[in-house]
Amino acid sequence: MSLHERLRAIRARPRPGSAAPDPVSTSEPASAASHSAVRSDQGSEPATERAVGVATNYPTLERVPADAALAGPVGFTQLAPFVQSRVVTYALPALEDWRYFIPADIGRSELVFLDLETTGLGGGAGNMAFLVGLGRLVSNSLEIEQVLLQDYPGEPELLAYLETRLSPMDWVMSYNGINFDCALLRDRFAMSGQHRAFERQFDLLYPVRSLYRRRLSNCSLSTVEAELLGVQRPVDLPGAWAPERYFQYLRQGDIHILGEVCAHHMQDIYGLFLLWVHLEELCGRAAQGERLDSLAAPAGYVAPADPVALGRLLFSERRPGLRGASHELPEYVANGGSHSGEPVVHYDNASARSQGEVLLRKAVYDRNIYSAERREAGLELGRYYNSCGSWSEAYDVFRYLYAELSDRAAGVELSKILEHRLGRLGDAAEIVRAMLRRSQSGRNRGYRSNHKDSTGSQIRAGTSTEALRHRLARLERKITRGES
Amino acid sequence: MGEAEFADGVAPVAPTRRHFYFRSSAVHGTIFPDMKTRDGLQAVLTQLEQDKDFAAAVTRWEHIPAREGSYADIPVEMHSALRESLSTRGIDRLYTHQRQAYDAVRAGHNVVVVTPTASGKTLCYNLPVLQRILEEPDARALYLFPTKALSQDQQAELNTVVDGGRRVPIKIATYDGDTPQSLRASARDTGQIIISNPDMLHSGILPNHPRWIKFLGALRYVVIDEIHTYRGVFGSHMTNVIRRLRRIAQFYGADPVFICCSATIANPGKLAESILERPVELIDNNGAPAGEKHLILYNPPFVDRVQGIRRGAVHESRRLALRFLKGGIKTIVFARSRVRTELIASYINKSLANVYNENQRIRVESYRGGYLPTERRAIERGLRDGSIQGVVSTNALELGIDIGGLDAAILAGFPGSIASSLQQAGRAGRSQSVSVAVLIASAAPLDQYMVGNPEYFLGRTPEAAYIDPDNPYILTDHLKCAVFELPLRAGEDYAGAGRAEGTDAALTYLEEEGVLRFTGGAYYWADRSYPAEQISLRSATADNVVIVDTTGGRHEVIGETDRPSAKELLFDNAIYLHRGTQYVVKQLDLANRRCYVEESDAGYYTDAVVKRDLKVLHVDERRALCGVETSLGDVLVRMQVAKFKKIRFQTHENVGYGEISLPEEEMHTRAATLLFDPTTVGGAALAALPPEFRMPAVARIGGLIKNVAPVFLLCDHQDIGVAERLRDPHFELPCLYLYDNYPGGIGLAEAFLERMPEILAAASSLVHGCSCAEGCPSCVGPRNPEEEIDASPKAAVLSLLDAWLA
Repeated sequence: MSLHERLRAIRARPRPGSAAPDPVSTSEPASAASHSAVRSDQGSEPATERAVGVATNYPTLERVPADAALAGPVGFTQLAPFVQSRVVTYALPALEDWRYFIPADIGRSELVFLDLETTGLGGGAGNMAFLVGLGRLVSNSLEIEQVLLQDYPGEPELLAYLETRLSPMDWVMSYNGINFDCALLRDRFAMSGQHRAFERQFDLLYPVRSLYRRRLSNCSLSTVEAELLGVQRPVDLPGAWAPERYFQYLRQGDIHILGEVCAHHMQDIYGLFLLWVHLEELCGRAAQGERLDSLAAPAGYVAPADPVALGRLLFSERRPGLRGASHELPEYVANGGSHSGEPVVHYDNASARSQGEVLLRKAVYDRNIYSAERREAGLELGRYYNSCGSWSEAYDVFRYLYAELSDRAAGVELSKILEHRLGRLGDAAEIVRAMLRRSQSGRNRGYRSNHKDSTGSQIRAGTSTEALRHRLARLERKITRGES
Repeated sequence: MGEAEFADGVAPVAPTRRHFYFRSSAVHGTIFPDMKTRDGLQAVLTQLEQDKDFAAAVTRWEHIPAREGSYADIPVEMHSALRESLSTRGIDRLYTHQRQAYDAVRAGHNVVVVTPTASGKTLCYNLPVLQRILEEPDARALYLFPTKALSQDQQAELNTVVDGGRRVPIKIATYDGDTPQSLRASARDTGQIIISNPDMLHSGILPNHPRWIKFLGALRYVVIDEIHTYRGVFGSHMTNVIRRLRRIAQFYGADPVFICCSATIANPGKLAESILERPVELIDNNGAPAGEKHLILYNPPFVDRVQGIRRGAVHESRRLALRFLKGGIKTIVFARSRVRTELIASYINKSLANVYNENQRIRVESYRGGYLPTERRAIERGLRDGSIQGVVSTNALELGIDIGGLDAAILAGFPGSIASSLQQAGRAGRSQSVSVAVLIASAAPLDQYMVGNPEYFLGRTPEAAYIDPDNPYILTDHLKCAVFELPLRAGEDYAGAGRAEGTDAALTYLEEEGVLRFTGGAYYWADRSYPAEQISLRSATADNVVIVDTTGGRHEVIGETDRPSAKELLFDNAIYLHRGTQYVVKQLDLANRRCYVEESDAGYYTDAVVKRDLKVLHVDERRALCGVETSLGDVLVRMQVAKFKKIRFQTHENVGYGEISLPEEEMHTRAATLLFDPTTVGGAALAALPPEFRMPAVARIGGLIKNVAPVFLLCDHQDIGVAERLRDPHFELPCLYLYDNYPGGIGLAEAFLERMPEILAAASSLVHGCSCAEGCPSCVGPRNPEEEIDASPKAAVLSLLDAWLA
């Protein structure tokens, strides 16, 4: 049974939270809906109807919103002066244990899905978090805790409480948390004289950008949910309205003013969780060799992930958006990365790598793909072949990039292989000479060389005209000394 | 020397191409060793004295004798690395003012150092700061400069002192709008000295102070260079930024000492104390030696004595600069506009042009804002190392950018203030050798007055600077920022010197507006915006237009300019001059802040005709005051460039016009208007004047008020705009507008009406008490031959004032 199928079977039901029992959420969703001050009609019916318009084979996990937590800001318990919280638990199917996206040694119990609602839209010392959401996977369910700041003077208590709920060993999953959520909390802690670094983070905005940048109309979480995950939120408030609602709540003191804000926030965390599930599955199935076009999820919503980006992701141990410690180091993953207590199920480094290689190789030779992407793919591959001493594979890739795509970096790499591995100094020099001629004639025609360090990869270094001249001069010296 | 030697038209190559004169990097200062320079300048001065034509045009030749330096020892505790660094630069003792500054700062006193250009001002702050950081590596210092160019200059200067950290292990970082995102974190975390500007402190650093805890918590020194630039509204903002800085620093446990430097103004000590709101020790006993100096006021000879037309300042400056340059004298020419800067530089280079002797081995560059930073750095370096012998500049080089010693300064026109004149003249002058500064008057009445009345020019103290940090508009803006940065406890002292007046009123207002929330005994920020973003410390917009050269398929950025100037300089078909190259503007794309130009070889340059216009939007109140009707309300000040003149190079003849179609530059602000209704005393007094005197008389009273009001309104004269109408289309009366030269207004118009009786009385007594005969720049302004007013404008204005205020 694939994850898709299993997810489809689920009807997420809210359960009373452990920390804050919620009498309302135990009743039927329909009655819970009556508590909502703002709920629209379409949100109160079961979700099956909404599924009609969308791809029918897509899971219905997104229909979690039909619950009490979204119906109103109910079930909050006072924790401290000006600080309240509630916990809402969503039952999940047994999630398949893919281990291709998050590094294998990160235990699922260490994941914390974090999202904030704040008083401001930008950064700065005057922007505070008034609603903090923490989601954790606890034995086949997702427990989301919402901590609400009822007024400014409660911030020290809010921070003190968060301190008890977040261990430095937790892995904080977020969407733009590196630059926003975690950064903001870190600043708030700093202003209160505490050091809280958030060293372990996985910001899913980064992988989404690299995999889907060219496929989504933008990379906001709501776009990702709508276009990539096929989720339609039953009730939602534009996130930018949240500060105004909060200020209104502060003035009037009626918690129902925050109903939509709390619902929006709850769905943000849930959406974040769904996105992670999607990324795990995408990587997992790709690593097992499934065809890319079958991985578009939900089918028909959006084009499949960028094969080059997916290839690079599988192929390398680096994960864009992952911050913190040893997991980024190749040797850690290479030796199994096993996490005590939890069996590593779908984890096979070699198969991920070989599938990544397949994707990259395909990309390099596919004329339908942007040449910039093909170059990146080829350089990634070639560099890998170089690093493991597969000179002839490296030679083939660089040769192709150089000849077909006139890639200068590939030309330089090619000349290096010719010089150092194959001892063909004359050929190496000829390639450098040809590149110099080309850049010269380009300039004479009034064009500028566009070989700037656009990819940011270190392999581009050494492609400036000056560097090429140096290389040529050195090669020529070597040739005259008769070293060949 | 006859004029023939300087004849134009000897250029062997096309004069408008970029390389029409030779630029040699091989020519170094060694060709002009100091000995030669000294003899050379003395020789040229002797020649000038003997030149009858020249001498006839000189209205004053002032000799300022050489002055011995006075010295003090380098403090014994000085770190050896610092001592070595000084000795490699040939410094084995300090000037007394440097030592005094060092001792005062070490004793924990705030200081302001006021000494002339090239008196070793930077060591006054660098020594105590570097010494402290060497003793205590965790200590931090913040340097604030009013412009990015000065910041970059200081970064370069400091880098030579610490030798990139090798000699003196101190990390220096620049943090301003140009600092790439990728370098910002490391600048914050590791920079022991951060170089920045007030705008960045206001909108970048303070609102994000949690990222700066390490820096702000260890902040020991704040250096404010060129503190005299923080005058008027800009200075009032600056004071509030310093209040906020001190507040945040205190929050993290730091109480920095301030080290300020100022150019010569009338009240540097008082200005520094107003900005810092702390006692400040004034250090103005310049211990630097000075060579003999000549100051020459020069009025160009008549071309047409009957019509009173004199030779132009542009060509006279060129002639004189050539004389100096050919004598081997390093020369700077200050021009009053960007176009004039380019013109004078290119005329000089054209006169020098010779392919056989590499332009006589003299390299002259132009310098102004709008060049690429790398270009500017290269010119500054060339001036320092001697590979450039001459430079023509706008006032961009007036401030303390290090360009080494120069021997001659030529002011092509009076720069507008005595303080600026002193700064510019001070650019020439070395410690050992003789130097000269020449003011060449233009035809403008102010210039003519200065050269016609040398006693006035030489005897006048430079202008004073005033600020009003508790201006309710400015205070309210900064209270928003302050609360955003940290909740403000009820009763907390926001200002440095006790609670600022009006704080409570401002807080109550902000709370009513819903921007602040008062709860638990403190004010909290309760708005989703980022307040510093909406508050600009300066009236000028920060927007700039990038100039792109598209000649022959190129696409290369060659310079930039601010947006309002772009409309005046870069309209379609304008000729844009850039370091000796001529371009024609193909398209000004204001929306995308770009201007596309191509090289051109037109024989003319262009000058926009700027129309200024004022429109009344709304009248809030009208009342009778001081014998006239007054009105207070909103106005729109508009500036439009609708036409341009084509002016031939060299002869400066007008050879045609062109149309410009660009949107107006608009400023919505507040104005106080004096309406001279004939039924009022003032109106009747005006009506009693002959009709042709009325307009100039009102204009001169406007100028007079602009001079007097800053003392009462605690602003700068540039913060007040003046416009006069003989018959105003809105009020249908003769009137005088006094508007707040700040978008939105900061209350100057209201304050003017409140203080109007005092201001008018002071204006009247100033004119009565002025010793001049017929009007001077201090009172009603000098005579202007183009005006149809009596032989004495003073008499006309006095008769109006006396009848009005009787």
